[in-house]
Amino acid sequence: MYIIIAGGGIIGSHIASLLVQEGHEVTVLEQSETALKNLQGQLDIKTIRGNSATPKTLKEAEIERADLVLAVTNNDETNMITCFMAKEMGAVTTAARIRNVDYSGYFVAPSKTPNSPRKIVRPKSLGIDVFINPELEAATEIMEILSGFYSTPVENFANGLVQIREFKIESESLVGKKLTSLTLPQPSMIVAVIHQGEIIEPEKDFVLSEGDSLHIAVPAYNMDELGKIFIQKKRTAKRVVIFGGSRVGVLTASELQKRGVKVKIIEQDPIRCDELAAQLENVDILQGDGTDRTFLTEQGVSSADAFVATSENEEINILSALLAKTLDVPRVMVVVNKPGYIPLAEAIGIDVAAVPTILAANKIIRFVLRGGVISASLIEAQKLEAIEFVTGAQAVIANKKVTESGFPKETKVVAIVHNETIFIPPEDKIIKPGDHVVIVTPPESVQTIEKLFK
Amino acid sequence: MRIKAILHYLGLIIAIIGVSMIIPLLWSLFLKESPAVSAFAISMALAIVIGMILWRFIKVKEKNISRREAVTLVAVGWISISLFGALPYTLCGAMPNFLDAFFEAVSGFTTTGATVFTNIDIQYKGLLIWRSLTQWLGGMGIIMLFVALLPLLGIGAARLAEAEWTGGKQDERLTSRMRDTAKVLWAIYMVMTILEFILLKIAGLSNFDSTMVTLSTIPSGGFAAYNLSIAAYNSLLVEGIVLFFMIATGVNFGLYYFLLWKKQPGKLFKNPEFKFYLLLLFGAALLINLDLIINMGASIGEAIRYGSFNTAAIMTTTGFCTADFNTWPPLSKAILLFLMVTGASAGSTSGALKVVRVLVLAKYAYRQIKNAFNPSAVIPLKLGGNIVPEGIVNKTVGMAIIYFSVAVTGFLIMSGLGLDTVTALSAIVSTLGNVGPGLGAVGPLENYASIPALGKGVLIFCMIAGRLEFFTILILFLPTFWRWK
Amino acid sequence: MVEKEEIEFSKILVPVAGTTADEGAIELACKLSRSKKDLCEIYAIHVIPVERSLPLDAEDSTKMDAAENILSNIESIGQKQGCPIETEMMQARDIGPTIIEEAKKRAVDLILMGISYKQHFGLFCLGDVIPYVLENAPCRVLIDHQLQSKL
Repeated sequence: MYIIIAGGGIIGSHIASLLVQEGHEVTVLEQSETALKNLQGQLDIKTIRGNSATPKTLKEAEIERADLVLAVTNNDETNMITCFMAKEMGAVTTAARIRNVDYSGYFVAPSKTPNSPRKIVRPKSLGIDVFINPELEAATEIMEILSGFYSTPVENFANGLVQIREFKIESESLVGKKLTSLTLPQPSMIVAVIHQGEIIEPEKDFVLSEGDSLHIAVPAYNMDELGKIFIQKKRTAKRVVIFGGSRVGVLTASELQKRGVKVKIIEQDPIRCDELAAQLENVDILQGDGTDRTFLTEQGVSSADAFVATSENEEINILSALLAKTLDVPRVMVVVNKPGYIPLAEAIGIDVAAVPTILAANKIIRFVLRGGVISASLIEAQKLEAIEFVTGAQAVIANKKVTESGFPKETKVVAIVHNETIFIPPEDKIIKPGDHVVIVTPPESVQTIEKLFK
Repeated sequence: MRIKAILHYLGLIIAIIGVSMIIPLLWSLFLKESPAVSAFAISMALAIVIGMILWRFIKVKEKNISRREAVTLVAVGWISISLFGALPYTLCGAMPNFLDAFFEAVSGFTTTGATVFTNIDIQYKGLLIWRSLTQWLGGMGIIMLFVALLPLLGIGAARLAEAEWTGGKQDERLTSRMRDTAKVLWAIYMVMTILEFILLKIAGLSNFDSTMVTLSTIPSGGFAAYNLSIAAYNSLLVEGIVLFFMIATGVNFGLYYFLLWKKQPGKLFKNPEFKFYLLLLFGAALLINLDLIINMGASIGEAIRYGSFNTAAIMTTTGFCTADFNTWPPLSKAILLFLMVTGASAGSTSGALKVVRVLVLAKYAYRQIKNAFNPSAVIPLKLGGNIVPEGIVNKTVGMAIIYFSVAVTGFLIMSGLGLDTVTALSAIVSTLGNVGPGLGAVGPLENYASIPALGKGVLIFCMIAGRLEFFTILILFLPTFWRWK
Repeated sequence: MVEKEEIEFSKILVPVAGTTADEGAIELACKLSRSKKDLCEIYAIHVIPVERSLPLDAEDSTKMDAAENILSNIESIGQKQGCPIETEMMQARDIGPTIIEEAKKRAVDLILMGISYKQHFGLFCLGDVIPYVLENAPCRVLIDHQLQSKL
């Protein structure tokens, strides 16, 4: 596919690198020369300098043969105009990163006469096929984590029948144990082992150490049983402190507050505090420094159930989260934008609640590249992808055994769902047309695998 | 920096060179030139075996390579292919020593076309084919071929190609993936090669001569099959065909891509460098023609025929010749020397500074003068309506400074070795620009055999530095480059 | 005798309701469209009814999401059939008048509606939209009733 990405910031470059790995042809449009230089130094892609919302730049990028345009600059309006222009000029599919929730979605157009039918303006009429709101997704993800007892979100496959979740090795009873000696509820499959920040192929006598994590696939009904092995049950949060009145912070706060959770927001900027106070009801807005220990203690952070650092500055997020951890807050989470910070945060024992960059990439691969019908998600930033395929009647691999269907050797067939019967791992099952197949693979092989299912 | 990764990929590059020796080998086998056959067989076996050992047995985990590794690989790669390329010359006894053989190989791969053969006519035909083939491989870039052939590397491919590619302007990427760009460029290169070969065949040249001339013209190399170069054919038609292709190879190959693949002729005809290149070429040719007519008494026909051909040959840094311009009037010689410095377009197979850089330098100088009387004026540097980023301006000025520093240093050394001023200067300028012939004792009908050994060493350095546009090779001489591993 | 005029359409309006009958109607519209030299313009509209108790401008995101799904399904059918389909979403008190108004506004020459088999108190029933459209349509109306066995 030929893909044009407008905006070469953190999100743009992250998605670009993923798409390049998958073997797509990518061109990035970006206005800032420094950002361009960075991109050129890191990725083998074509870059064009210019404002992506102008026809001139789009023409130069050969918009007429673009299969997909992703507008992910940090300006909502630019993204919308870019998509609109791109669609008019012949792009097949467009997706825009829209951070302002007021823009997203549908609205009823007013009419001159009170009783005549109202036209509903859809994003499609603006030329945008998919809205990407990483901040909103981040907030949703945080909500999901806070309302359950896991520290990581779950990925659903085959209509939720199969789930994959990352488990960190935290409890002392697991450290030093052999991987092979773990008794997992059956059926289940370990799809990836992460050791010191790298995905490894564990050898027979691999011993778990603190900080390792396992991505495990199980049928949904077995997830809680599996969770018991790895996690001490934490109670659902009733009092939450949010540091940083960013978009993510506000969205999370208002959602939490709706569910009857007591929320405090710490924000340094007094002007922003006024805005927040006007916007949010029944939420305590505290103006102060989130990295000031005395301030945090004074504001009763130590008696909170959870501390979520969501400010725009990720370095300060990590610092304040660390501080909250020393104040014995049971659950401490941060939001970071640069995927490179994930191992850093995890190394000092802070859970990364959400990475808007990766969430955006996730949404793009799920809804845009794969048509939204099937699930797909990224494991460990982007080194692996978990994808669900539906076997077509004419597929190359239909009616063949898994072991004989010619999958690239670095891919793992995790599950086959045949008429709601789950096979994890499928071993030498025969793949029938109509079966849902969950596969974990490096992005490089995705195109090869896609061909197998067509 | 991972030495292992460099050796790993180096092995493959060497192996490619080894495989390419099959062509001269078969040629010699066909003509039953037994010393050449054994020389090629041995060199080929050596290159392939050593290359494959490096490739197979030195394994790297991370396939991608860093910028530092890319630069080192390109520089070391060029030196090693020249070393292996020199083997046939020594093994078949055509060269008295390895230095001469190395000089010839470097001259080939860098498309210089400067020779140390005192008599070309008596050499093995297979060896001559190899000599021209090295130019053809080096013209579009051996690393570019490597990038086009191998589905690996990702960003590493871009870094490699950047370290080798001439002209250096990164924002004119033709396709998204560097690998596709490399393929496109090689495709254009192939098409031009085949086209010229067919035309020369039609013009009546033998298979051998057509091959030799084509393999030498397209990469703007300059090695010829005879002592008299193109003049040996004494055919106006052949000269016309060669002239056309010389001028064509002096154009940025990317523009052909837009013309042929993308059907955007505007990109070519509105390109400021293309326009300035033609202007400079025709202006210089006109001046030389007039000079020949007025000061040497040449007839108009002669002046146009010889004047134009040799001007184009020098400017595109091909270095063919149909006349002994050593005997031309001083103005003509001075213009030729100037053209050896400018060269043709960036992104073409020609060498030297490149027209676009001359253009930027001239505008830069003009801006400095303007700023001298009004320091607060903000004057952007524009080319064809587009602002040239300051980073590129700085790099261009820097490169010009390096070019002239290397030229002056080389000139001093050559003079110190006892060469006369004209010979010393033109030899350095000619090798730096990958032209081939110079003036004086290294003129069009002379050769480089008489240069002392140290001088040859200096010229070898000049050729490689000129081909890789200085930075790639000079970085290796920076102590800081090696310190922070 | 009346001269038999050539029946040809260039603009077709297909109201869709999200039932199984939609697909058949759209496929039929595409077939009609492809039988011509140049394709017809096909509009698919979906009207969200608004209850009297709510203001006409009320936004119900779940209904809109459902409508979007219906329309994107229609678009993908069109894509498979090789006919681009323009889709629109409206909301109104009554569906019938909205369809007629839209047909007038766009000056269509055919309204094509799919119906599924319905029984009301044991009697075959067309509902109230189709009779209204038939009564008031400014152009030809085609009702596509699919085979019973297919439903």
